[in-house]
Amino acid sequence: MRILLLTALFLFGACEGVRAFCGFYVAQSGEKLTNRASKVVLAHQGDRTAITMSSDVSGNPRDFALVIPVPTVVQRDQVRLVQSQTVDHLDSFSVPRLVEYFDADPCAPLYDDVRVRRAMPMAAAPMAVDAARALGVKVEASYSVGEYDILVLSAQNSGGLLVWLNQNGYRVPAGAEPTIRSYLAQKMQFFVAKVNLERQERSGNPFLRPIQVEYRSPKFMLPIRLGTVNADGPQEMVVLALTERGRVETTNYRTVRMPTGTELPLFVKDDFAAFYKAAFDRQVQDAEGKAVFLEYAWDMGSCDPCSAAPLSPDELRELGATWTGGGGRGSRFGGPSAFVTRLHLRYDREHFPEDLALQETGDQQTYQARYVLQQPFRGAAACDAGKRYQASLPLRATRQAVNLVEITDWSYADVRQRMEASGQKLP
Amino acid sequence: MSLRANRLDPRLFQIASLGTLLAANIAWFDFGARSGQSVVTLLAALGAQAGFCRAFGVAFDWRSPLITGLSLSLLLRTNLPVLWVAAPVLAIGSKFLFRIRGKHLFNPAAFAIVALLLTSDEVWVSPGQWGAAAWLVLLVTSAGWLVLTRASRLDTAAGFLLCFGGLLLWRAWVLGDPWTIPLHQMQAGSLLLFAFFMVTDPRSTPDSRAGRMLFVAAVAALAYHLLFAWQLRPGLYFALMAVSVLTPLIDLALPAERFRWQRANLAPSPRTHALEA
Repeated sequence: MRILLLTALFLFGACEGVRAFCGFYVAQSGEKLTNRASKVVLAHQGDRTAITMSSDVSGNPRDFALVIPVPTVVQRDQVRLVQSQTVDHLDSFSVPRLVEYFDADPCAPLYDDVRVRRAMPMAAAPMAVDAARALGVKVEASYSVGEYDILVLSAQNSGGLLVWLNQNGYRVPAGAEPTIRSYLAQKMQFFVAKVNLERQERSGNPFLRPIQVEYRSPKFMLPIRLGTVNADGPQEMVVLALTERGRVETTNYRTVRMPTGTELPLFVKDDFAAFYKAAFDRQVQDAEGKAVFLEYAWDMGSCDPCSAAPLSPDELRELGATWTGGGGRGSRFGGPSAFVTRLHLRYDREHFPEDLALQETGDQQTYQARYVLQQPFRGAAACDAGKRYQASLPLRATRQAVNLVEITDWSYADVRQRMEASGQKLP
Repeated sequence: MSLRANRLDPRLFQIASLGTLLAANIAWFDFGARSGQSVVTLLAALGAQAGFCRAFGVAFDWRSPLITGLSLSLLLRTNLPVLWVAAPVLAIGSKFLFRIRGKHLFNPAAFAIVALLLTSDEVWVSPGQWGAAAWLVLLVTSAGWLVLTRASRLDTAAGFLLCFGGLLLWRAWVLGDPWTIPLHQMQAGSLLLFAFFMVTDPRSTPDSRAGRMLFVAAVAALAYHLLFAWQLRPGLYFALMAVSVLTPLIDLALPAERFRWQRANLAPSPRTHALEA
């Protein structure tokens, strides 16, 4: 844990004066911060991209299938399985966070007012090739990886491919035909994966592991169009990008930073997930549904506060950041150098007609969606300064209430009521 | 519009339009421009113009460098303060150093953007940051209209948008994509800024109307290729630079009277400058 120790030392030295960046990490909410969100990890360097898709399927694995357009034929050695925990680790490392500060005793002598604030980590089966040929579908590659049977398909026409996919148990809606045609015309191949139930049973692993596909192509993009066909309302996606140089952004949609550093009422501690969902809804609404939101941008070499321990070099390589083996640019903390960007979007066909075009920028400025609780001093504080301090608290509470209303669009009366119920006094 | 307004230098309208966008960015709608960078870039642009004017013995004019500084503030992204200065110096320097028959070859801001993108990892442009909001489309289009009618260069913007839009529509038709896709691409604020305030630069585009149409068609075709085949996100600027090299040849083949800002809407004056910056 050398990286963490160094981080803590750095913080201790730099804390006074840059208070905004120190604090105790409270907790991620046990609840999920997103509804029905798919998670995608993109490791990108030059023209090499490794895309890891985490299937959040709770149903029968028999029903699981993956169909994604890829720019090149993907061979057996370009497909790997990744531990779910590794994706989850990156997710928790970059997730929006709540931090908590404690007011000091206002009556205590000033030199005692040095608070140690450390960043605390909290914790393929062979298919009928002839039948395919008859439909104008060419099986470019066919192999099995772990519990998945995989095919890479190209096709002369979208209709044939659609018929073939449906004949082979991939339930692709008919409305997907024009989109499939567009991808084929862009000379893209289709990577399709199905669960081999026998092998999955033999493996004894009840969960499907995330699947990773690596390819070389100048196309740095994320295909989202197939997902919007016949989708039941807008969908959410979290894109976790690992890059060598800096922050990733979309070039055909705005990338907007979530509001950050806002001081909130204390009851939010017990309801952080609901708060963040409301804040995200509000942002989506303000951007008329047309923006991608930045939730985290930071070098993996450090974090402050850490919502989870940084990923190990092995984990980073598992997610496709192969350059972190020592060849790349070193980080200032001596850790593996990968820049993490977390993007969050809610998309549907109307607001996101095109696939996401991405680019890696040279921007290494750190950013995190982070919200602040300021716990008041609970002692007696009977001195004059203490009385002034006590008298100032209702005003601070009002400010917190206004912040919360602004960021979530919740009603002021409700917020006030919940604050009072949690023991905060308002004027 | 009154006669008096018509006589105003079109660059003043351009400064007002770009200045409004920069102010809007800093005040309430984040396009990605930063106030510190903008101040440094604007001052460096004016300083570079003063320095080069002195070195080349030309009278100082504040309008062109201000436009260059505003364009760079709005479009170029970098966290390195040294590049906030280097960009305008390169841009203004290109006007004085790359001249053929007394006319500068490159649009200054586009030159600096491409030169820095090619040489530094710390520089990027954010075409997506302008979004596709209706008010922005309206603002850029109408401001561009105001500037370009005064400079008699509306034809250039219209020609470029027709060519580029035509290619996007053609692509959608070939791929069988819904019309919402080319429409979304055409509404991009960054494309409109490029069309109204950069590819139309009267000082670095061909003199004749036919030449300008040839020029914008080539820029549109090359940009389309760079964006979709090469996946080069700042493809518009690269295309403009590459095609600008051909401007002297187009001027030779299709000659016409040279554009001068001071006379954009007035009768030709007998006075000429050997070198105008």
